[in-house]
Amino acid sequence: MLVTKAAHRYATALLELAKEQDVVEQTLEDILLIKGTIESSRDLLVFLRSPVIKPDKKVAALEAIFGDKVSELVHRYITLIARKNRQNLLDEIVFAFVEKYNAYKGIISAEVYVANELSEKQLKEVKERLEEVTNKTVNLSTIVQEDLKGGMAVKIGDTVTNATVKHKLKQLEDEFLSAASE
Amino acid sequence: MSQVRPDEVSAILRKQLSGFDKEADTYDVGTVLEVGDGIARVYGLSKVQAGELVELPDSKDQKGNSVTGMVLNLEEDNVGIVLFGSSSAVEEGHTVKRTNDIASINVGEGLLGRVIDPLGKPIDGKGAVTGDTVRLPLERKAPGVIYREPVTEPLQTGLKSIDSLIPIGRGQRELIIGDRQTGKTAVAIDTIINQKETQKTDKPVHCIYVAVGQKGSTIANIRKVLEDNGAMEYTTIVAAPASTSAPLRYIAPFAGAAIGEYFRDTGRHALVIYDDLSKQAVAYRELSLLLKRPPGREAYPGDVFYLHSRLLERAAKIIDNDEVAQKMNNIPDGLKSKVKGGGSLTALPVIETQAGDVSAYIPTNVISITDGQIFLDTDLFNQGIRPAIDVGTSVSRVGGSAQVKSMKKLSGTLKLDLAQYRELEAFAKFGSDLDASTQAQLRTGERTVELLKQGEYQPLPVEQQIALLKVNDEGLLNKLEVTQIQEFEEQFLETVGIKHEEEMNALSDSGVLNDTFGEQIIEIAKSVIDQINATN
Repeated sequence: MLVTKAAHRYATALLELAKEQDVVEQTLEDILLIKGTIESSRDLLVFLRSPVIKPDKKVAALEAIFGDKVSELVHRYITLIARKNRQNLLDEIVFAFVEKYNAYKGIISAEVYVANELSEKQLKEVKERLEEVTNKTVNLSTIVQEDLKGGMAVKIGDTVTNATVKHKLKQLEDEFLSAASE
Repeated sequence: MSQVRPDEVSAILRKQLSGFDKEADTYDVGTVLEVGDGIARVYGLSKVQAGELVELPDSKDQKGNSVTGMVLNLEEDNVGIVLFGSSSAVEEGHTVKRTNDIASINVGEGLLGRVIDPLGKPIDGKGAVTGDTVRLPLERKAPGVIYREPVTEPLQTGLKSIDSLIPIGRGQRELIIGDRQTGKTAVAIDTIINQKETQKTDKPVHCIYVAVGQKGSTIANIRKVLEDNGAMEYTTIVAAPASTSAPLRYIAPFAGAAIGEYFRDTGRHALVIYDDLSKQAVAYRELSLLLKRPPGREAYPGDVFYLHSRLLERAAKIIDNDEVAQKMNNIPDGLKSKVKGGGSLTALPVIETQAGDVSAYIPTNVISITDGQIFLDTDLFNQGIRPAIDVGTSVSRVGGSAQVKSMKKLSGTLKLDLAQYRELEAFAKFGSDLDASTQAQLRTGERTVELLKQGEYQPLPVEQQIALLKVNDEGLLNKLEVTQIQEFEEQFLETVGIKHEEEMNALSDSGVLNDTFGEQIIEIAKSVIDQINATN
């Protein structure tokens, strides 16, 4: 997800404040609640982004949805965002906050591409091995793509480590073709 | 008929497979955010370098090849890449893969005689490039001051008017500028053909012809001319015809420079022709505007001067000292063991002007970068003076020190004659009303202009040029009518060639015309003139 500069700034501010008041974990919970709500309700996202709807209506709606479900800090934060007329950035802000929280806690997310669903044991092994290599807590998500045929590819950040059968076959093909044209 | 044995096949397959790497492959990726007009914006690729080549394995063109591109813009939250292939194959969400390879080209002796695209892929249907190759980056810093030498050796173009009046030295950058249809390419091609003479010597000049934004048929024609004249075997054509995408047209001259540098840095001599840089500037403008870089004068981006200056700075004469040359800056790893001093890269950039306007942006830029320019004029061309070189406005700032001795001596008179003739030319229509000395000057001038005419693809060796200029210097041509000059030239050169083969060879080697041979030349000229006058 592309996050704008403004969203980054708002997210950083909230994290810093939460750190100061030592309520980081609680704040994360609240933010995850907001994130989950926005992700599950497309209507809410469209509503927040719509330039036609008046800001005070948006404030009222946000107040009604999250008002009594979140902590005092996050509640005030939402009001601030609303007052600054940045409701349309809310989804980006919560996304950026989770990213920043992960960076703060040393958590990295890794995507595992496999041909068949991995068993619990396999997942645990992959996770442990990745944590050993990266020295960080790994948040694992699995993506099943049948055309990989076998093996596994892991994507951490922008870097892919590819050991799938599909990739090997492609490499082999390239090698044969380049040998043939020489 | 020979047969392939199955065990032979399996042996080959095994050999191929034995080197196959079973380790996991690690690379960086990004995702296409938006694409259009040959430009893609990519999210991710956080460690990518500017100028790096990237591959889009998901995007296949009609032939099934993956589209490649080059990173040009690194921005805060996205990367701007230019696509070499068709952008219609690229879709939002496609993966972009780093290759860890800054745009480069494989260069070697095998490139001579070939036609390649700007990424080094042969496009002449003669298969892969053979022999050892070195991978050289397209963008490379020009050699520093201590690795250079002043221009001292001549690069003969075989054109009388250029070699005598606007001499070019090895390592020089001489601009060829003129309107369309004034024979700019012809001058360049003649120069390539004339390098055939040098192939027999110990300092052969290898040629690179970079065609940017030209018609495919024109490029095919040039190749045929070079082949017919036996010039293709020491020439490489880098073709980026008008049908190729703007990024390829933009990098084509850099590919030519990289090939030239291979010869330059291995102690040999090369000539590279950029035909033409105005089209390259247009391609670069297109890219820059699409990448949203701010436009400047004539909508060219701010760094269009740097685009041409960094390209042309790479033309150089390298110091004739292996030890110093080996310390040269920015030598790619593959080339390090082969570096030798004494090589040179001469550049002949071509610029097309619109209606003779040399004060437009790109022409003034390139004029100021180069060590002189050859102006080609539409009026002269239409008057039948071909090559249509305007000797008044053409200059060579450094070539004089590289000129052959006798040629330098003889060109003095030539320059004076032509200058005086130009001054009086306007009065020529008064004819017999003029005084005797003016008439004499006009007469001499007319003959000199006629002598400097030369057919296309007919370069003259330097010794023949010297012999002709010697005759002109003595004023012998005044005894002939203007229409008889061509006939004289032919007969005279033939006679001298037959009667004094040894002396001509000596003249070609030393460049010094001794007095005895000078007199013999004059004698022959006189007899040929008498003969022509007697027959008419």
